[in-house]
Amino acid sequence: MRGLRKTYHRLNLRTVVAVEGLDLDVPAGGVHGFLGPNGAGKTTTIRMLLGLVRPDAGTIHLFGEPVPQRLPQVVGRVGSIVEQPKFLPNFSGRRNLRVLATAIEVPHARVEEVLERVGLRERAGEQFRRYSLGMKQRLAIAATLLKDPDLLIFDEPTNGLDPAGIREIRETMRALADEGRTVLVSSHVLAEVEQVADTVSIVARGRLVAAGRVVDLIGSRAATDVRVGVADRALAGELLVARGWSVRPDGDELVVGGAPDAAALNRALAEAGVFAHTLRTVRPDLEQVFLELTADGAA
Amino acid sequence: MRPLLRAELARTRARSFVWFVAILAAVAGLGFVAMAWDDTRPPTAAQVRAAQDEFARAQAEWDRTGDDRVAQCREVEEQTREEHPDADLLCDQLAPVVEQFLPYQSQLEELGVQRLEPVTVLVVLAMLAIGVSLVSTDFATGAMSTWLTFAPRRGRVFASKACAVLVAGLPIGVLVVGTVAGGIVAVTTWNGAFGEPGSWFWQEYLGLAARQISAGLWAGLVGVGLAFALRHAAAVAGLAVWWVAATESALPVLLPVARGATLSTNLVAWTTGGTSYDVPECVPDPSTVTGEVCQDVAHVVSTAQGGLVLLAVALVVLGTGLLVFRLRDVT
Repeated sequence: MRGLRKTYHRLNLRTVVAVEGLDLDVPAGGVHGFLGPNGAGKTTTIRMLLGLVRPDAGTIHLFGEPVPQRLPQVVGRVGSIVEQPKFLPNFSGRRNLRVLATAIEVPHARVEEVLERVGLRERAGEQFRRYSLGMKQRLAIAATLLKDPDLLIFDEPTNGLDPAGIREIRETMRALADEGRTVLVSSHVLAEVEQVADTVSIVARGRLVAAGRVVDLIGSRAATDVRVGVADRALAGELLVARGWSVRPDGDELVVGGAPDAAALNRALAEAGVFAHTLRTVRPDLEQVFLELTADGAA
Repeated sequence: MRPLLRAELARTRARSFVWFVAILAAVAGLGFVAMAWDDTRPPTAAQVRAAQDEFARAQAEWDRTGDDRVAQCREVEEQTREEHPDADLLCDQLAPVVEQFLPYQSQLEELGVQRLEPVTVLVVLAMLAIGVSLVSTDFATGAMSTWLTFAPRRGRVFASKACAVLVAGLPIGVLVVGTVAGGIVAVTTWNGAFGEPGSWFWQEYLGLAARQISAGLWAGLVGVGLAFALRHAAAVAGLAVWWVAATESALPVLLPVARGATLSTNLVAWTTGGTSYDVPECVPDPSTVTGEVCQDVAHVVSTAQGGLVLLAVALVVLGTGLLVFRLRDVT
């Protein structure tokens, strides 16, 4: 996607810029996290990618084909869930999938395969409206797999799920990527993406603020801290500041910043006769990077 | 396109609302059958007894005064023939007969068309509701966006919905109209009022039924077009109410000549084989300074005109729906 822009005009004459000049590349293969706070333009971007929303400006290419002009030619290679899974509520899960299978000329045997794959076969005869949120998500994933797609797009797939459901979805995404498919997952829940994504793009206020491999982003943006527990915090603080490290108190502990080596820090304290009763390295995570970047974007 | 239509028909078949409306319309249509039964039912024993009592009294009166009344009748007839030589006052038939005192029992030929005609409103409303629901439910539940990620060609999705309402609407129309048309024939036969309907009757009766079914299909298409244009069933209902109040009811009152352009007039013209409406036309009254002389002039709306207006309306509504669906975001 290049220079993608979308503005919504409300009935009250207000204009909302959802996406503003967004550039986004999704590498083939693996899980790509599409991250941003609520309202950052993730869902609008995905809707534009799927031809549901028309961009005001910019270009989109999917498997090398321009979208939405050539979307019908490549849509068979794309499976997607946009926001909540939406099916006909009075139909059973199986019937919903069979209708979709009929529409795209996929044999009904494939329906049973994908139901089995997502572990929903035994309850596939129940009405969709009686499904739990987790079951609805699994049915939606089954629907995306009907076409045996190369690209899967999941928009906030874990919204409202319990921890077991989140884990299940995460494992499913990883498994799909390990089969050689590309999984694009949008989310504002960083922990779930960090555990499964190979690469990420971070957006804020409709613009891309960072993109790359997760490990590279974490390494480049956030420093490692060491949390130290000592009896005489004042003396320990003076010693560590004198060594050139930044120190701030946090509860019963001191947080030492400036990428310190924990062993060197312990040695410095011991040489001064101050002994730490706890010493813990705190590594940065994607959430810290995300908060830094999106805070920058918002500023 | 064909796979989409098959899928759409499967969805249509499985919708409980479609079944509910179809059955409701058919059951409501039984009301007209009940009216036909009431029109044609034979007199009850009490009615026969009462009629025989009345007849006996009339016969006694006739026995006493009949000759005089016949003579008077012939006298008047003679006088009348001086100016109108062919005048026949039926003086031979003045004697009372028992049938005069029994409730009139209509025959199929007399009431069949009359009782079937109102079914047009029923089938049109039912099919309009079904057409709207096939589309608006998909927008309301969000199933449309899921559907479009599988079938992104919006023109084909639109066409599949329009075709589905035609294919599904045909048996529904046949069910509703057939229930009433068949029911009327059945109850008149049961009541012994079948009579000897001529071929002209069957032509008119079956022609009316066929055109009512076609009007139902038309309404289904209009419902699909409106739902694609407005997306919400409530919005379509609001527009329909406004249309009936403003265009079908108020406009002809303010501008009588506009009655020929209303949907209801053209719908009646199409289904019943033509209709007419009166428009008062006034000219200055030469006998007064400010007065006018008015007379109602009948304007005829032919079947062809009715059909063409309905076709034009369907094309405009479907075209608008398609345009909006192709251009508007699905969120």
